[in-house]
Amino acid sequence: MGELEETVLDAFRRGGLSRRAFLKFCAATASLLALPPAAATAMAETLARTPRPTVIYLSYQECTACLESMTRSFSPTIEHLIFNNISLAFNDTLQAAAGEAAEAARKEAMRQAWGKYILIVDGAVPMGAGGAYCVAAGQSAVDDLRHAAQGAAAIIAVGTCAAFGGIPYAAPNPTGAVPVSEVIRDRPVINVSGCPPIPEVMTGVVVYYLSFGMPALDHQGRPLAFYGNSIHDRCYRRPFYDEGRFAHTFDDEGARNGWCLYELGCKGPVTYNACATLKWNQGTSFPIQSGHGCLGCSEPDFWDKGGFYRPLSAATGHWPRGEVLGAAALGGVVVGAGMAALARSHQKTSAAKTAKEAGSPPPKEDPHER
Amino acid sequence: MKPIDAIPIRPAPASDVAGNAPALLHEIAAALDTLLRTGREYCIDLSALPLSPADRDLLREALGTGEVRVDLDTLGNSHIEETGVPGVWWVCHRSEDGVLLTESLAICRVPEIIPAHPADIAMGLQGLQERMASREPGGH
Amino acid sequence: MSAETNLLDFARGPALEAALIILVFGIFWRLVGVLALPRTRDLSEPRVRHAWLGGVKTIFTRMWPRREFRPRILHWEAVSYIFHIGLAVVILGLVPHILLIRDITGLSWPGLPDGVITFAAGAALISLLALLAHRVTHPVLRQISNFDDYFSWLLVFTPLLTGLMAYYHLGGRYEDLLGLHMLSAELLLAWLPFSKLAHTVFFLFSRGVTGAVYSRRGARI
Repeated sequence: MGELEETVLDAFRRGGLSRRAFLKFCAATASLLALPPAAATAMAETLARTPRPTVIYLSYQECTACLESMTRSFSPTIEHLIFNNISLAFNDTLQAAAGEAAEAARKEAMRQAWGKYILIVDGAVPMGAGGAYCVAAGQSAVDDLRHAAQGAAAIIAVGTCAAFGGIPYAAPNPTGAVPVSEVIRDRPVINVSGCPPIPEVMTGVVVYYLSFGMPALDHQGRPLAFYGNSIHDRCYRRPFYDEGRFAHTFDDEGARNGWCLYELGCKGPVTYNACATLKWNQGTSFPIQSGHGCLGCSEPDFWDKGGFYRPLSAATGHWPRGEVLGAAALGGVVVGAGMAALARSHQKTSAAKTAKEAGSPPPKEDPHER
Repeated sequence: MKPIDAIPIRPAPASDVAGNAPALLHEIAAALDTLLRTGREYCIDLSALPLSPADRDLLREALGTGEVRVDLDTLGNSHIEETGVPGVWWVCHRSEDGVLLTESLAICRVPEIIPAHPADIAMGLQGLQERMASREPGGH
Repeated sequence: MSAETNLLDFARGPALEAALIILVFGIFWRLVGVLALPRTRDLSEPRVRHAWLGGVKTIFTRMWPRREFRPRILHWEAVSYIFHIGLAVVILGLVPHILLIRDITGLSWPGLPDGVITFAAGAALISLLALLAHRVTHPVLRQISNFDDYFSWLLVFTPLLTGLMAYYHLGGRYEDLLGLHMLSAELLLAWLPFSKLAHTVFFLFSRGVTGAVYSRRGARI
């Protein structure tokens, strides 16, 4: 304490990079975040003063694809800068240390930056069996997360598992998995969903937080800068949807012509993410551009919505249509016939009663009258 | 299996309508006017705009080519050139592997990234003085 | 997770299933219940040989008012037609609707462009409003209208409105509006067999039976 903390700009300099590199980095990141260009200047000014942050990256019930995505982003320079030059990162998958040494390093990093570090959580947290489904170094994921969250300045849930429960949360959820926001309920969690999230989105959110603080979030806790628009609204195939031109199968004329994939189960209209604008793999493409509908991977419960290839307007339930509706029809016929029979017998008795009162035989009824 | 070329896939045709460039030119003109009167700088992020090739052609044609061209070699290449309209700079930042990071039009006297910063000048001066000092006493 | 996405999931899942079961069950119940009712025998001599042909004819002749009535009701008849055709175009022409029908019945046909659908939906919506205004201002019509008429009107109006809102992202997030749209349409399906909306199926029978009875008696139909 007391001595001047190293700023982000200092970290750049120490890494042998100039102020111009720093400005360029800020310009690229502001553009990535779809911020007004003037924000690049503001970002540069802030980051030049901001102490270099510590990032603690914890992994629980996950498949490591989020990390794979992050380390394979289209501009490795920027990601490299964020996670090596800008911040001191703890990540048990990427770091060389293991076992006791790794735990000691993490504890030390957390102790030094207590109250100031950025906590990135990857993966869902199993609550079943007292948290025993995910234990590292004798500590369950849920206890570990609760402890780590206490010292965090910001918590970022990376990937759909951490944000919404993801694959482990899918029915029947044998481990009792929950998203980070279910464990940490007393403060906002920034959800960076996606399976995996777009790498530029993950890093962009970190830089945004450092420059401007908490980003504006949608009702699912996702930064609006990236999750503000649906895939459908930003899709280059949208005009075909409006014109009513659809691919009916994956190899028909419509599919070859690049028409809308709505009929093939595309979930673009209800999926909020930046795939259609930022794209994947060095800006090459995104699923719809490659001819496959959106799975909706950045939305909660995306696997339990009836099927990836079932159109959005179709029923989600897997009930036997013919049998159920046939039975309903049969039931209707039986009840209808029963009611009619009841009406007939009621008519007959009341007619008989009237006849008895009038002293004449009841009128004959013709059941075959057309 | 068919060879990949035999699979008949036609990419979606690129739009050849210049729908956004005219509006952009108006924005540039307004920004230049502001720069002239108040000195306030302005920047348009081209990578965030849906520009068709026709839009780009129209923009290039209307702005023309100017006299200054700057290449920055930091974090990959950056190419900055003044267009035929003084005060309008076409800025292209690329990463070390050549991927376009961001492309913008800066409306200013000179883009902020070009001039040397006082702190950097001070550091450079310090380095120069150290080098001068180490040369003088030894004399070799 | 969120109530909003759950709304859509509920609408596409259990609500849809329940609505369809009630619709099918209700239609068969009402249809069989009415058709199997005893009717008093017509003892008079039939004036024509095939009275049922008169029934078939009536189904079509009742599609347009008789000359005597035209000056008074033709314009409202036209508005009603605009509404019915508009609604049919929307229900049977919009691709998401066709996909839902395909999912349930296996039947499928080509859809119409969204511009056509929007126009049809707008026309249906405006004519529906006009018909409601007519209903509440016309002294006789108002006397013979009951809860069924107004509730049925609401249940037809709401899916049209929420459908348009969902498509144009007006007044909320798409998935919320879509969920509301589907739920309101499901309510309509479940309400249909037990209300005046049952005329979608019953009009054939009521016209046919009326036509057959009068034809048998030698009335001009």
